[in-house]
Amino acid sequence: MAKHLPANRVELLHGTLDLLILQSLRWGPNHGFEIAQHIGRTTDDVLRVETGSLYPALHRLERQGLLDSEWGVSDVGARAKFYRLTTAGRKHLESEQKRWTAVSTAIGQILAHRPDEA
Amino acid sequence: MTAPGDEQRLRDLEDEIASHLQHAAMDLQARGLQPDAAAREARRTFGNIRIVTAATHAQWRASLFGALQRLWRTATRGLRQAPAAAVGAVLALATGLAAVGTLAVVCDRLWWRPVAGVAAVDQVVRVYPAGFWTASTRAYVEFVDLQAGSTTLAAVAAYRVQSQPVIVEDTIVRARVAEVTDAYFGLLGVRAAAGQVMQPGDADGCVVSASLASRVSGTSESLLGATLRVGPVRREVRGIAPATFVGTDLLPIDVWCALPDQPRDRRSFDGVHVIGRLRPGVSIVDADRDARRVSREGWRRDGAPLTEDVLQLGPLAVTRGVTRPLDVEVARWLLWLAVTLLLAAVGTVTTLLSTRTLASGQARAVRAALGARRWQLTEEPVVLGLTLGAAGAATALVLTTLLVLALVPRLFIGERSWSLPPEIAAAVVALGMASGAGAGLVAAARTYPNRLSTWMSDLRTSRASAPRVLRGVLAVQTCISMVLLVTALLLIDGFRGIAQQPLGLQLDDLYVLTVDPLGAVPEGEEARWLTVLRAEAAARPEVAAAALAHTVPFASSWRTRVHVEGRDPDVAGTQGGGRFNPISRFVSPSYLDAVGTRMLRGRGLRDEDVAGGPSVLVVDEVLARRLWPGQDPLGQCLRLQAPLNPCTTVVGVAEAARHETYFGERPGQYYVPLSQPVRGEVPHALMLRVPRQRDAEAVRASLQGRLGVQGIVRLGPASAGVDDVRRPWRSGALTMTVVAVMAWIVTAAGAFAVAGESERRRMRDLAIRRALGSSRARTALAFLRPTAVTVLAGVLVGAAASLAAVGPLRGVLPQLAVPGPSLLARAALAVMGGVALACVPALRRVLSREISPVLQEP
Repeated sequence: MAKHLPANRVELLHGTLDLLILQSLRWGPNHGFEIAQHIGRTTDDVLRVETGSLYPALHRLERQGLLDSEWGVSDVGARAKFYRLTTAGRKHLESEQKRWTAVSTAIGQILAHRPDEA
Repeated sequence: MTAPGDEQRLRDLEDEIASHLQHAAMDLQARGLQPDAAAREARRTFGNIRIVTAATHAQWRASLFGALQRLWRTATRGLRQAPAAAVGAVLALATGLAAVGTLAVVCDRLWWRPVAGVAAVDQVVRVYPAGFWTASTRAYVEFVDLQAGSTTLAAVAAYRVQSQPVIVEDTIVRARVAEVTDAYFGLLGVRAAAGQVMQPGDADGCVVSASLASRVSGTSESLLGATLRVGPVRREVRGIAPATFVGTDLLPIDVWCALPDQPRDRRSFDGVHVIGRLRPGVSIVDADRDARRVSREGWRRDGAPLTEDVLQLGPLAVTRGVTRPLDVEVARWLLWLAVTLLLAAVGTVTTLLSTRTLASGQARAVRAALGARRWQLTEEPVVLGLTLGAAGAATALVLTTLLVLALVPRLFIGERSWSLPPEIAAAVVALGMASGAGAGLVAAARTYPNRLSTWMSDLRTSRASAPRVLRGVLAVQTCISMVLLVTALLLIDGFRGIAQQPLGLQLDDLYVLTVDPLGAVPEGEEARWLTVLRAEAAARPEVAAAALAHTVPFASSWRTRVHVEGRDPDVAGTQGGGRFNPISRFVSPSYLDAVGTRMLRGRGLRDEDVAGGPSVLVVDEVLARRLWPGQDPLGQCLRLQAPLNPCTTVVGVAEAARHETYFGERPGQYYVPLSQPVRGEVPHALMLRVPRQRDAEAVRASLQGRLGVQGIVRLGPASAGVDDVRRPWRSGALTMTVVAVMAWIVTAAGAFAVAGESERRRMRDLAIRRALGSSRARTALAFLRPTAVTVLAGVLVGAAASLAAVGPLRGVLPQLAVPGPSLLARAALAVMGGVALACVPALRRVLSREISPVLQEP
């Protein structure tokens, strides 16, 4: 069991980050810096996305056809590469959200479980 | 170096990272930092740009070019790091593949490939002798019986084939002519490409092959309606066969014409080939049973009931009409040998790759611990194996082509050109790639680490088992090499002895000229032609000697009894008028000089020895000894043919020359002038000595011009007769030498792998020995001892196996010697020499390596 742990951990992080990125783009296109800022702000800096993980994830999601990208100009007037959800990305986000809700509910139930309630 | 598509993406990523830094700096400025400080802080919090770039780059889908480029780098890196090992692996693989490829070409031609141009060929059957799958001829009456009595065959046909001169449009060609019965073409489902095939009852027509048509006239259609003369018979060309159809035998047919009725002698099997087509729904087994029944009934009708079957039915192409079925057996046996050789070669490549992969174990373990994927860890040995496989296959293609063009015609049926079919070339390449990939996968699987902590234990396990496996493979390879080398040396020695055996004839530049009459000729006409041609040839400057002969050495023979008064040479010590039956040679006076047989005593035959003059003869030394032991043969009287015939006086003694057989006791022979025949002997051949080989055809053409279209002048080397005797030895020696050299290469490559593995495994042990003061010689001995013991064991087992293998071989070649100590020692030295050479690189590394760095290695 122990010898497979590192691989599982990496897989979990990848999956979670992908979900966070897709959700950040649910309300419209955004660029890499703003996506990272959005995740940090929304979680009160509990979750911080490192650039070493962010950009590989963005490029991987784009390769998988879940994101699309194009260069544009940001709110502050600087040039930036904007990512947006594709139709496939939106569907994927919805299914991943359902799965995540189910998993978190299950985990919540386990955490809230008391022996005398059985 | 980056792939073209990646360059644009990398520039795009640089821009994206720059944009990120710019936005971060602007955000920090908005929070109150000075521009310079904001830029520095943005840069710091971003982290290592190179790592981000590399990690992002890894997510891109590689372009085909990029992927190929990476694989190429992996492959070339592997080859560069161990060039000698790579060469050894490629050679071993190429050797095994070439052996398999060459034998596959032979097997394909002899029995794999279905007969071309025949419709539903699996429904066509042939009549074979019971118990043998050789397409020998059958009695014509068996064809008649089957045609009338078979209930399982829809059609039955017979044919016979002869090689004979044919005149087409004033062009004389030597052609293979098949005389066929009416049902032949219909049974085989062959339609003419031009014109039509012969109709039943058409005795005057013929069909020619597309090949002959294009040879003679350039186009097929222009030959239709032309007159073709087969021997004395004129026929009209009714049709041209399709290019794909050349008959049902291995050797192609040029002309098909009608088979006349044949004698119905049930006991004569010197007749026709019989083929049939199964009725729909009938199996070969049922047809075979039915054919045996018909055969038994036929014999019973003729009053000679069979005690056992004389025929059997089988598929058309069991041996494809090969007249030498030994070829099929030899090819089949050699193919298995080649497959064994290939397996040994693949084993060698696997061990080489495993050794190399084990050597990079630590690096791979670290990569595994850092999360490298399974494919990334196994990629290198697999790609390297594929590269070695591709190189081995390419080399094998060249080798196979050379062997097929140069060696196969000497070993197998040489009357037809051989080539490497594209399907077999593709199979060789595929087999090479598969062997390489398989070896790579096995090497990768043997060394695949699960994670860092288990790597060392895995490695230890592999290390513990690797030497035993490698040494076992090497021992088997050595044993195979030894057996093959001993056999090859035996055959080489045997062939050398046979080739050097004194024949009493100088065959090197001696030719035999004969005439094939085109049509019936009056009695004595052929002899008259030869006499004219002898005079013509003798006058030509290219001809050193020309003589007429009644019989030709190793081709034809004639015996005439001799009588010596008061002696019976066949029964030692017996007195009385007995008879002796030596070889009688009726020749023109210059014969002995022309064929290079030396006179030992007295005189040779002369022009003055004419009809009506004193009867004279020359005896050879063997006959002289047997007829007059201890006496002078000169002047003795011999009565030829009958005891009361007049005396023929011995005027000379010639050296003993072989005439009928290459081996065994000589019966003795005597030479009589053709001008003094005993039973009407006439010349049948002209012996010509033409010192320069290139002049032979000019001489033949000139004599053909002298003869005109009365007949075809044929000129062939006089050594053709002895070649039939020497061929099995030469073929065997050549084949076994090639296969033995191949096995030797594979063994050397195997030893190279074992030495390399041993070097890496025992590096520290040997370094410690040297550090403790062991001399270079002792270190070398310690390093080589395990390999030497393995090889020695293989050599000893191989020597015993080769002694056991000689028994069956001597059944085929009785003149084969039993391997003596000298021959075994030569083979052992060759094997061990190859192994020693293969160990040299590893040994040099062991002895030249600095000691201290080795000991500092983990």
